[in-house]
Amino acid sequence: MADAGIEDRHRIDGMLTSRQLSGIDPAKFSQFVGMNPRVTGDLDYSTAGFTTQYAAMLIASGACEMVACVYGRNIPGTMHDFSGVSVYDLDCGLVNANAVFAMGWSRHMAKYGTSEEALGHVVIAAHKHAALNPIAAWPEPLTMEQYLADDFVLWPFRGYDIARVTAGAVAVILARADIARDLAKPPVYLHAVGRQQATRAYENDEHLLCFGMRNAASQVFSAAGMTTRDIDLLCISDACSAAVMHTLENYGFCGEGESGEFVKNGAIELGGAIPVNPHGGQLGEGYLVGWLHHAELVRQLRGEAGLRQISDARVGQYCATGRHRLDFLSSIFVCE
Amino acid sequence: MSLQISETQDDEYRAFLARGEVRHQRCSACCYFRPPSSWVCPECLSEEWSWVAVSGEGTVEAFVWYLQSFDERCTKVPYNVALVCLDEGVRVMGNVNALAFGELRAGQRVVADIGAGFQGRVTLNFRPA
Repeated sequence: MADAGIEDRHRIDGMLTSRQLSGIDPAKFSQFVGMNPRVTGDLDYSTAGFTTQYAAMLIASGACEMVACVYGRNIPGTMHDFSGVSVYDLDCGLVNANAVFAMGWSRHMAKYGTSEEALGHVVIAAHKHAALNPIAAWPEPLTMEQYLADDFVLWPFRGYDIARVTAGAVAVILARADIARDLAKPPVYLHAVGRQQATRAYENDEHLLCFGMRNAASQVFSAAGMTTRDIDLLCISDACSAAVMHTLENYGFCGEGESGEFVKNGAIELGGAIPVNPHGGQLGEGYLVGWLHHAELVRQLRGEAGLRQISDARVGQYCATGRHRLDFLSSIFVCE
Repeated sequence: MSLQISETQDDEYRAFLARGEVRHQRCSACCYFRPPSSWVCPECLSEEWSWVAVSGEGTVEAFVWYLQSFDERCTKVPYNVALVCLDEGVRVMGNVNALAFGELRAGQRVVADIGAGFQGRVTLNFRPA
């Protein structure tokens, strides 16, 4: 609230929290902090992009003027346990969301001949960016030799390819545009959204390669009146390194099957063709299911990102993949 | 979340497996093959179906190897889970047994290997053809 310049907390008339495996109840949290919003809510599956889009819907409908989206967790295993705890099919032992991504990456390697080093470039970029971020959990530099020497845990993923759970908290406040313009800082606008479910899953060809993202991509770009060339930074929900690759391909930042070549020469690093997760993302900064990505988008677009600031960043895009590759979501943010 | 959306139909599917038969539902109205088992056809919404024997043969499209355990009920590492496209054109998940880590490839031809799954109940798994 201090950052936004909101002095009276009772101006916030919507409270959304997120309970993705862990998290807080929105009514209880409102009670703790002495607020009595018109609307409280959370979503059954609610990483940051789903919650912020929900907040925008509440504002667009007139139900709320100013919505706080709040996430926090401090769970056992912080900075040690792998993320993605979930059970899909106990009969064959298909557990953990990253295993599904790992299967998808095996498909990518087989179909396009992608090398083992490809994912290494994503992880190395994440660590390089994290080194410029004072709150990052994994700022240590990483070489390709160290990456390749790491043990496989979910082949074709090594330990470095999978985000580990971290403790932390993020609050993002969305307000009606005319209200936001009168607050302390230049507003960052949620400019366009794209969504696609892939509920038929394996009945779809190439479900594992996330082709469903392409529908979310065409929606968000057409709603924004933009193309990939307009995007100054890309924040990808990276519970594992392969999520970055599928997003680059299916949103059109590179061609189908070409992500391995695309990331080889620094294209996704600061100063590259499309900087991805300049804060380090979930693989470098910390794993808060996309919430830290939203904080980074706001900071970058306001020019407050310090050593990792992208010069003249005006347009930022968030992309996420949820659950068993059932949900694809994107938001484009702009700061004028 | 379970990939099987109907317990009743899943029970019937497993009763066939227990007799050594791989059968999947085929819609009586539009002939659409499913797994996952369900009381309704996702293509035409018909609630009529028959259980049709399939070959149990297929091709591995994708797979993962668990080299460490990610769940206390699945500790027999290493093991793999593969997405198998059956010759009838439907996809199912299962273990490809009788292979060591590194021996499985996309495109591997497999045949049904029915046995006890991680939960102890009868499960459709595979072995190399």
